[in-house]
Amino acid sequence: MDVVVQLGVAGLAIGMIYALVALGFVLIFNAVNVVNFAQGDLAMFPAFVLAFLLTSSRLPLPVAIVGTLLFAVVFGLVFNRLVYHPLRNRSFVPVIIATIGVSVFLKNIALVLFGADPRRIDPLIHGVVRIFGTTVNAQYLVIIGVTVVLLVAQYLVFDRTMIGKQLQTTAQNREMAALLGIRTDRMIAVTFAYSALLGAVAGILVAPLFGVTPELGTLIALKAFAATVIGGFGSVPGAVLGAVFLGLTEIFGAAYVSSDYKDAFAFVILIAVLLLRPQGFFGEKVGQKA
Amino acid sequence: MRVQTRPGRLALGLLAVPLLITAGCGRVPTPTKAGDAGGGGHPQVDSAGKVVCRDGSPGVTAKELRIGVDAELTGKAALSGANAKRSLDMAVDDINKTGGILGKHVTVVYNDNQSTNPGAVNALNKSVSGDNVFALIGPIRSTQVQAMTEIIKSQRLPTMIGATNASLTEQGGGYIFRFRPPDSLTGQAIVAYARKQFSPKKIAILHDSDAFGSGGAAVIEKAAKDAGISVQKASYTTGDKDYTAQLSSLRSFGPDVFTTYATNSEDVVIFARQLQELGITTPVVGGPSITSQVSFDLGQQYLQGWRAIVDFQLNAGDVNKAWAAEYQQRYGSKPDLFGAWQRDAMYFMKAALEKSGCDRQAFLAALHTVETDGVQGHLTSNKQGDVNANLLVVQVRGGGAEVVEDATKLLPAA
Repeated sequence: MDVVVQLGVAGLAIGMIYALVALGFVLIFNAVNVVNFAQGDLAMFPAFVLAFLLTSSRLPLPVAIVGTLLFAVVFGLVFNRLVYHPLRNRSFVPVIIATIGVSVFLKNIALVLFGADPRRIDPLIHGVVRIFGTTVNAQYLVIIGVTVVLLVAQYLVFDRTMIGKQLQTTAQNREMAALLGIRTDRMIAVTFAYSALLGAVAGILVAPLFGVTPELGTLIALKAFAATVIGGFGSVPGAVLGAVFLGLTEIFGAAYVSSDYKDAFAFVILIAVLLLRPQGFFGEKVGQKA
Repeated sequence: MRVQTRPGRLALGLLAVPLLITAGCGRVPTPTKAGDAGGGGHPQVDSAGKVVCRDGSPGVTAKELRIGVDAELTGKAALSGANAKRSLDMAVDDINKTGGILGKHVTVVYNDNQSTNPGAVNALNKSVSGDNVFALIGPIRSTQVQAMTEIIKSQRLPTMIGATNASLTEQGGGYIFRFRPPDSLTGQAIVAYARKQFSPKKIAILHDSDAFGSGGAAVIEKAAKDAGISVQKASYTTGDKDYTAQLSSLRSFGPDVFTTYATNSEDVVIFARQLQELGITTPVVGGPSITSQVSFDLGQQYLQGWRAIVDFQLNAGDVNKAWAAEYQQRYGSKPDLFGAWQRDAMYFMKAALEKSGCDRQAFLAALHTVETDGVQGHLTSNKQGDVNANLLVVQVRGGGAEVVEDATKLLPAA
């Protein structure tokens, strides 16, 4: 029982991190129909910014976190303006290649600006917590809590506010949205900013556990991408559930089947889903999207 | 018009694919003959019998001796590349301040291998074809050296490495010299020390799944099983971020000792923290990545009491102390093993060149005969090209590690 609780909490927390990055994939895919391969690096780079603000600028943690989130929002807007906007009327291929270019750029600029030494960030809450008679890292609970709150807030904003409805309309049919008077370019910019913000939250949450290196986002993005496909590309609940399913599957699989295949589980499931249900658990079949 | 141009575009596209592939892999240089190596294999001496460095060999001009470096300046292992560069820059500056090598100014030409195998081959090709270097200081990653070996042999390029997979020097055909102990020694020493200290009946192994980690784990497993000890292994991918599954699985095996063979120190710190969080108090004995400076900077509090079998220990010996002090003064940080072996390789090459002159064949022969005292201890090559057989048992205490004993004495005589 102890082991199951420990594995369950760790798997859920890792799944939540995949979910934050997966949501970034989905929101941008829905808005502009491309996959942003720099999404993992949008977690890594803000983590470096946070480490810099904490150590070099010696800002208090709450101020440094707010600063990092603001940086991410601005970065998302700049990303949209410099990378997506000039290519918006081209096919999806140049845009995807441009996002890969941004990924390489961010890794190397992090290396140049912050150096090769990994950075350490203290956790938001230190130590371990006892649950059902066993110990669990408190930071895992912080990750689960923050992600759940963020998802609920996102649901309320998208479902209950005017800007949320405008964002959804733009994602569903950009031309129709424009005809309805929605400033679609602005909505797309907001989507990029929000995706960058989600990435930054993921980076801030995992940095105390994993340390900050230029490769921080690489494996996370790969798993998040698999989770997005498993959940159904384009589906917000699909991305979240796919990510949590993946996090739990790989940790229980590694513990009870074989640790040698821990990373393989994600991709075996991905291949199985692509063969048996190509649209994913919650995705629409091709041609059915409104 | 459009219909006519499409086949042309298609053909251009098809042509571009092999061109791009070729560009990606780099041009494979034409193999050199032994005679191209700049002499007939005899030491270069003047009429007075004094060793000199004559022009003519690759990388040797009237004033300059060029040494190539194939290092991880970017990519996953950029940290080790950065430390290598710091260490080599310092070594070369010191050598040039005291007259260079045989009067030649030493120039180090760095090529980034991007921490990948194709990158390592590209950087090697650039060092040979573009930079025309006399000798090369290669990577610390075994898989990269494996990818480079055939070109090193075909080019007869003297290459110094820090990669520790046991077979590399054997496969190197006499052109590869290693400045860190092979995994076969380190793995055996881990088991020998664990047996002496803890008399275990069960040993758990947590290892990286790459060539380094798997090779080391295989040695530990064999040595333990030969001694009648039960073994359970669990692996992880380099850069993995959660080890709860592996540690839970190994804990249920009930080991008396945990052993580790990890490539990256960042990974060591994460699983050290998780061991503590899971309440596992089993003693740990592992490889050198436990005591790198990165491990101490990121999580010394999780590593207290851990033992490691290492080939580099900060401030062990006079040469080491002087080097560490100079490094600290120059860079404001402490050096670690990811710079130590390159420094030793550079001074070992200097000693060999001062015996052979700048004839590659004579230089290769001299590398087998010179002896130096480096920051890793006494260095001398065996027949295979393994230069460093120094191993220590150290234990983490406070913000550093203390020497427990000489691990070589735990090993059976070779």
